[in-house]
Amino acid sequence: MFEALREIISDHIKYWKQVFRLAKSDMKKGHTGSTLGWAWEFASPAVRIAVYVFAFSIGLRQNQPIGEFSYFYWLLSGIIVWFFAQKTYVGGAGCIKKYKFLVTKIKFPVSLIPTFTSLAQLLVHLIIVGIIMVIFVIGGHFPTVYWLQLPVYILVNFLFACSWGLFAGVLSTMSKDFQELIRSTSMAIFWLSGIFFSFEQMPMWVQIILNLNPVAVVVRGYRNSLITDQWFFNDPWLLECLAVYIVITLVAVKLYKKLGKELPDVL
Amino acid sequence: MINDNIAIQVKNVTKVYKLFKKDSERLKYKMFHSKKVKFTEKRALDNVSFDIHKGEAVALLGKNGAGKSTLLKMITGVAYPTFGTVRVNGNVSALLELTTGFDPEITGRENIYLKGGILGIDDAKIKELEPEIVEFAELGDYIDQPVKKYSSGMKARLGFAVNINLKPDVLIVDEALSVGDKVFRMKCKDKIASMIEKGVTFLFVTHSQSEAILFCKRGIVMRNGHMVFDGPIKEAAKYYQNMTTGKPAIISKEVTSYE
Repeated sequence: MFEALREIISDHIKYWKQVFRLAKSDMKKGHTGSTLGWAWEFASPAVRIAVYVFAFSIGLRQNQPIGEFSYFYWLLSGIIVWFFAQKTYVGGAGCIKKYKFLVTKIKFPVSLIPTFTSLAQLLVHLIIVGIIMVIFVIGGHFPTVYWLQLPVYILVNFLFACSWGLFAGVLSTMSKDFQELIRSTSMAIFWLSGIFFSFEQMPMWVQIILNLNPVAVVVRGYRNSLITDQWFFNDPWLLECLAVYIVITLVAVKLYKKLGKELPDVL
Repeated sequence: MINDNIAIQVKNVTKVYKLFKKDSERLKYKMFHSKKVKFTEKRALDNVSFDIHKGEAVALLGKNGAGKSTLLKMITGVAYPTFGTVRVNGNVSALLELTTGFDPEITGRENIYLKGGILGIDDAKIKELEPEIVEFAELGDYIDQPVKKYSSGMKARLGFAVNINLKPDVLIVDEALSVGDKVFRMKCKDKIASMIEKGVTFLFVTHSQSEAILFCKRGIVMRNGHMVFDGPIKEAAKYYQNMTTGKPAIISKEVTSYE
């Protein structure tokens, strides 16, 4: 187990240049041929944010604030997590299949595939976070000391995406059912991650279950940093989330160790 | 460690493919060692051993399903032996099943950089090599089109151009010469001949005995996953000739289903 983990880490150190180069090419390739190219990466989140703001903030809530905070900013601070989460949740499950040629034609450590696909998404995510920060400042929400937590949450979010990608990528290469499962549960993860509502008034057992979803904790973390001014150690579910993260990482390493050498034969 | 003079060492290599009815059964077997799962075993390679010295040019001969491609994949490092070891000294450039591992979504030119980058060559160096590669591939305007739009001949040409110009220590070519037209083939032959002269280790799979004899001094004949002959190329070609035409070779159904 630890040997496999060490192998994965040393491969990352050895191939870090290649990881960046592949991330760059992964980012570019989604939009080659379209006139607007890169702009689509931001157009789609923008449209979705506009629709959600209209439906929830204006349609359902008639612009009522949530506690002392404006619902618009409250929603915004949570939903930015989703675009990254969705791309890495579903995309992570397909990443190894997508880069089949790296598995079957070139000698290349498979464990790097989820890392560079997540890295490509991270760069897009950082730009979106930047845009949202500008919107916050324009709206009068100036940076506070709590914003300093954001880079940490972003980093944890990214690391989780890498582990998840390895776990789900290997599994869905071995089993088509798993990939379908991921695709069909993506909606559930979205609606139950607390982007639109707060868990606080719910019964304890519901909260325990909902907080198993790492996206939920990250959404709250972004929100605590940007708007509700809370420190991360005040989040009661942090340990639970960390446990989920560690379990998924360990299972991913185990799967990689057991199935890694089978992958070229299956693809 | 292996001797410095040896480029490729294949030692007691056996490759068994387990064929399952469903993917989920493979998963169950692998993860839980479930004994209920049924599968059939296919032996693609059976206890194969040989050493190839640096600078040697070796032809692999054998019918479809003899295990040649499986062997090349293991030497390239994209498949792993079930038993035994494969060791390679130096970096390998391989043309497996005509393509060399291109990303189909990006252009040929971008793929040159990507492939070079994966091999650890920096951009400045690739920039130097780029004109030569582009010229060699003869793709014209297609060099800036996504690789998925290429015909198989174009892919092979680009693959060939990239692989030989990135200056590998070991060059592996799996039947790639058979797709190009005559002019291109001639060009490749010249290039390979000059690379062999410069000391590249060359491993070649072909069905054309004249090509094998042209490049290689040594021939290995494979049959049903076994190595049945290893020696001077002319004798190997003769052996292979006898095997295919003389006495009818017995090929069990098992082995033919691999490739």
